[in-house]
Amino acid sequence: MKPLEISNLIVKYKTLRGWITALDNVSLSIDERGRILALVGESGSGKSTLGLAIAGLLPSNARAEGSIRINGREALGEPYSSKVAVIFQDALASLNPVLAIGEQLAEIFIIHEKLDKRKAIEKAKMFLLEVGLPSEFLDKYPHELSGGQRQRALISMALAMNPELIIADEPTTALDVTVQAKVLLVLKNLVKKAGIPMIYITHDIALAMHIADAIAIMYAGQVVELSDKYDVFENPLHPYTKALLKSIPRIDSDVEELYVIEGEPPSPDNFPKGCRFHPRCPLAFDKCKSKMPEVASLNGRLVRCHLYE
Amino acid sequence: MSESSVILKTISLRKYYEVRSKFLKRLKQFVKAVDDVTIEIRRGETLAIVGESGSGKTTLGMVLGKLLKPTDGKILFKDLDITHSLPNSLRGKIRIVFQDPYSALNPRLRIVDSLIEPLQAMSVSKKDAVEKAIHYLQLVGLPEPYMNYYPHMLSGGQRQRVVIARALITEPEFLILDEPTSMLDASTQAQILRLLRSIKKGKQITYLFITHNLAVARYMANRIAVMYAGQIVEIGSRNSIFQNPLHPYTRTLLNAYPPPNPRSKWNPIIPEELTVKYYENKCRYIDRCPFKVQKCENNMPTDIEVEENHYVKCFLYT
Repeated sequence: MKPLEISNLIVKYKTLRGWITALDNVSLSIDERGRILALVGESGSGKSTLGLAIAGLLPSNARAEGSIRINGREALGEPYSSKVAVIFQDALASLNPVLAIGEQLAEIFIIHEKLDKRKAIEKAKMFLLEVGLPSEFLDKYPHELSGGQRQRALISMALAMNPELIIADEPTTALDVTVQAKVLLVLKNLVKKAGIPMIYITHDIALAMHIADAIAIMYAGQVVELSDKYDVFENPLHPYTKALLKSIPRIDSDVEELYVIEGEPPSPDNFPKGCRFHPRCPLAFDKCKSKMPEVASLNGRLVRCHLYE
Repeated sequence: MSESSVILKTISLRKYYEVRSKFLKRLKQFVKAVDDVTIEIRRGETLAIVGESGSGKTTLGMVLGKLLKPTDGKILFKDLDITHSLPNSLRGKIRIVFQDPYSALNPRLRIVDSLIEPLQAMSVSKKDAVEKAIHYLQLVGLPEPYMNYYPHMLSGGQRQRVVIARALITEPEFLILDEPTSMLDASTQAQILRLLRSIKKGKQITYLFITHNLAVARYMANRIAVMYAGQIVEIGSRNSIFQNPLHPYTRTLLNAYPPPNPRSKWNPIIPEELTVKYYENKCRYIDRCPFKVQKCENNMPTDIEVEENHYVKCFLYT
């Protein structure tokens, strides 16, 4: 039984200008516990919508079809449950400002594990220590913590629920780079240790290469490539993935000239006909303009491109 | 280096912000956002200022862009003292591009009106100004019809192009770019960075490129200055900073970025998260530094030239 299996997921939002399709026929899975899948894409690619759909947190103007199975159980259409823990970018908005960190964490054990308050606080202390926050943080309020400390407190809360799946939506984007490194390593180590599968949503492909096992590249509401991270880096299949890798400035080498993907990502209310990447694709041919490519499977890798059919 | 090759120079530049001290305490406290910065920026180069939030890099840009008055020190632009006022002959020669292209354009002005505004302030006729606007819009890759658009009709990348065109329209010699791509997507960032590099070709324009992203600095800069707690703790050529980083903070920063190759090792050094303290008689990095020695406790390090034109403020190299 796979920890996560999504098939043919379609999510539409109702807007003043009619329905717009944020996710179009997305299928992906996490096959084993403890595996981390990164969703990489630019703004508007649908990566956050996908995270919300899995967590059951889609807003009321959204309609979803298809299937999201978490450990074999259909989760689509079900309300948010504590089986899925979500870590958002804005930690301050996720924490209760009038409760001390220890109390917020202990609450989870009191409600979910029916512990008494003293035992719950003891357990909270242990969980905070795991993310590198010593016991004095039990009595601190969210505003007294730095950005990285807040994010680590959130990680401990996500783990405290002993979820079947963790969804982390750009949890380090607002942090400074040295702090980001620390939060990432804490998150990765604890998730691996607990064997909890995780979806890590990010726009930073370099970061994805180090936190994830597999990478799904998203473009205009679709997964255009899904592979093991080594394959994605060493032998990218989709023209968008290839272009993306050549267009990022490198910390580890001098780049003569960055590759430029011409044009802008399409907006969800006006996706191009045929392959959605074709107006920006250097390899596009006639078929790409008229027919949307299906997902093709190639040695266990998934790619949505006419070149591989 | 001859004086004429230096376009802008600062001498002990300082910008302090007073922070309200605790109730009834008489002691004044300061955030020393820019503290004793002496720097020479060479004509035609791209100097990157890198650092984390609160290092003072944006404040430095604002002071050099004449948007903030310095607390102390001097700014010389082409050997003229511009610390207190910019002579008329130099108007439009120093310009700034900000991070947020969404708030940098007046939503009620058409693109053309935003573009010609700085020229009209310099009493250029409207006809000439509009002609220039067309030219610069094309230079940044936007065809003429965009003139009549309003900002909300443009994407983030297109807005940033307009902001760049507006900065270039007065033919500046010194352009301050404050995180110009940090709000943009990867594909748009590549477009803007390449555009900025191509604009420089064949022009005598100097960039001060402020960024928190060392990979972007590596692509854009000839020289890199690393700021920490209001001070430039290391400055050198791009190669010397990347091949031979000296200051413990520079090394920490370099290590913190994951390299895109998943097979490359990524072992970031993790410093403690601490509030920056503006010590006066010891090294400001001391609370986070794994290599501190007794000397760092008692003295503030000054610039040491370790290699040619590669300076560091650190006692490890004395």
